[in-house]
Amino acid sequence: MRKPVSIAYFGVDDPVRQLLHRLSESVAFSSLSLLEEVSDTGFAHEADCLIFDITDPLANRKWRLFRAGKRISAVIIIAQGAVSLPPRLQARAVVLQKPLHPTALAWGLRKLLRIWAFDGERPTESTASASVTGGYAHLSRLHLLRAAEWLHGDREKIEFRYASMDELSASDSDGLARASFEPDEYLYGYLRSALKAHGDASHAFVVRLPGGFISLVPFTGMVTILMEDTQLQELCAKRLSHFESPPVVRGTESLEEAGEHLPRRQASIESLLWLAALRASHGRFPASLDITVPRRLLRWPNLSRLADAPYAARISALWAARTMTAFEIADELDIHQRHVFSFASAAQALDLFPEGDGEVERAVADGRWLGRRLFSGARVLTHLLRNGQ
Amino acid sequence: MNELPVLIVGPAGSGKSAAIRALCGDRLVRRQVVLADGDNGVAIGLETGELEIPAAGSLSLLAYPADKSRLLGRFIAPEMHAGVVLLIDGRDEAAIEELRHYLQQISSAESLPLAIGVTHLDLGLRKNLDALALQMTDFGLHCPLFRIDARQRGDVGVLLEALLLSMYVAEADGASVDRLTGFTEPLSSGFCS
Repeated sequence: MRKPVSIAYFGVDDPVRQLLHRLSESVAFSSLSLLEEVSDTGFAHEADCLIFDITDPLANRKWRLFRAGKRISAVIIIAQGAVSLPPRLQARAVVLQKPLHPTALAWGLRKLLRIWAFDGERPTESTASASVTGGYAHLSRLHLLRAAEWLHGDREKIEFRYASMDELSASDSDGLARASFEPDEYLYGYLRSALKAHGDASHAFVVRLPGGFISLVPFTGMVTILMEDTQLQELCAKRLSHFESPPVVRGTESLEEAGEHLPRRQASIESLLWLAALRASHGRFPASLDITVPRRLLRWPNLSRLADAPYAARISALWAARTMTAFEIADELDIHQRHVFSFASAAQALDLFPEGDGEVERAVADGRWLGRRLFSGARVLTHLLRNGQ
Repeated sequence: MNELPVLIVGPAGSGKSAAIRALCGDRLVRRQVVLADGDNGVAIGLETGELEIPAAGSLSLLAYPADKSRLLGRFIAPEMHAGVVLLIDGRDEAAIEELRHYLQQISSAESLPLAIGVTHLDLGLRKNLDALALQMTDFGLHCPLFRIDARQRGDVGVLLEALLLSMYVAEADGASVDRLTGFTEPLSSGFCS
């Protein structure tokens, strides 16, 4: 069994001290051992982590005593107002604001344990284990990524052809122009226009293509594809001007021409547009989408029923939670921009970005009220109450 | 071993046990937890499955019983659970009401990442999924909402992958601390190393 994580503290007021002791005795924090308070002259040499109140008049002195000759794994700083942290401490510190809510302290302790665990496990994988009898702790971001990757498993991946291009900067207007494309020059742009023109109709319509047909039923959101899959995918990647014959919208009676010899399969309109946009993109982005503007996804794409684009889940997670530019997404995930541009093309094809220039989204995010929430229970309740539920 | 407990909730027949079986096989273990309810304790029977993930730890999936959903708000705890998967039966006419009910129940643990799976939806019932997605947008939810077959390992895996990545992003944001403490100002001055 691994030694408990030892935590020293100083400068905290009585209610927080009592709360710390109560939490350390709870099942959820059984892997935590709370050491006695650091005195004015002495300090806990053996502590792994530290909790202190920065408003304590002796805080700076005690902090210097504590850290002398020691490497601090993680620290909780209880503060009232803004705190400037030295760079080397930023990744190791959790700042909690006064007045301190018990739930916030519990969250801070969990975070502290995770920082400690991640820090302590770096030398070898085998040290990552910890004794957890209740609740959970010691789960690093690295483990989350590994577990997510493992769960992704061996889903069938679509091979994409990417245009060769260097990484771009937002100020490189020539590079941006080269990396963009016009959706209307491709099949998915044509299909989107056709859906806009015929989407309100309750009846189906047919798009005749070289080598087959696509029957679209906007009311159900379904399509029937009457052509070889490989041929459809080639058409998605080609400019319309390179088609043997241009696509034409017809009535459903034209399907009689298809006869019985063409293969048929059903799909959702969403999955067709997603795949067609990815194929058209080649790692580029639609010219109509200003990728230098920060945006946020309106919702996650339904990844369980869409073609498996590279990094789609990671990009979705980030872009659904934060308002960012495509460049920022690529930087944050440390992936090639072309993956983000392709994703942005497919997301735009499904109307997953808000209309407009993204400034409204940025304003909301800057307010940090809704922008960083994955789930807002308060807002749900407000909504329900407003609707008399 | 790093442990990641994920609570799976949803109405009866929504596919909670099937989802655990899809990932963990048939080795489900039934556990009982007693919750205080007035002067009496209420036994909550959980179906659980464990999934070992190489070099990452283990995933504990805990299916919470639908008939105890009124106690869910007291059972769920950010200290004990890493995230929540909500399964909704897409065939159910009352799917949106069920969604609202469960969202209310788990609102006490709003800091927990959430992923929603809509089950039993064949392709022809897309409208129901759209309605749920619209409701979520109205609610200000930005969590994953996927159509899944809870019996399919791949589908359940994608939903859990999305949940873990949401946790990853939330962890980086420190969103919980911001929300709980009302701390919104950037760190700017005051502490010297």
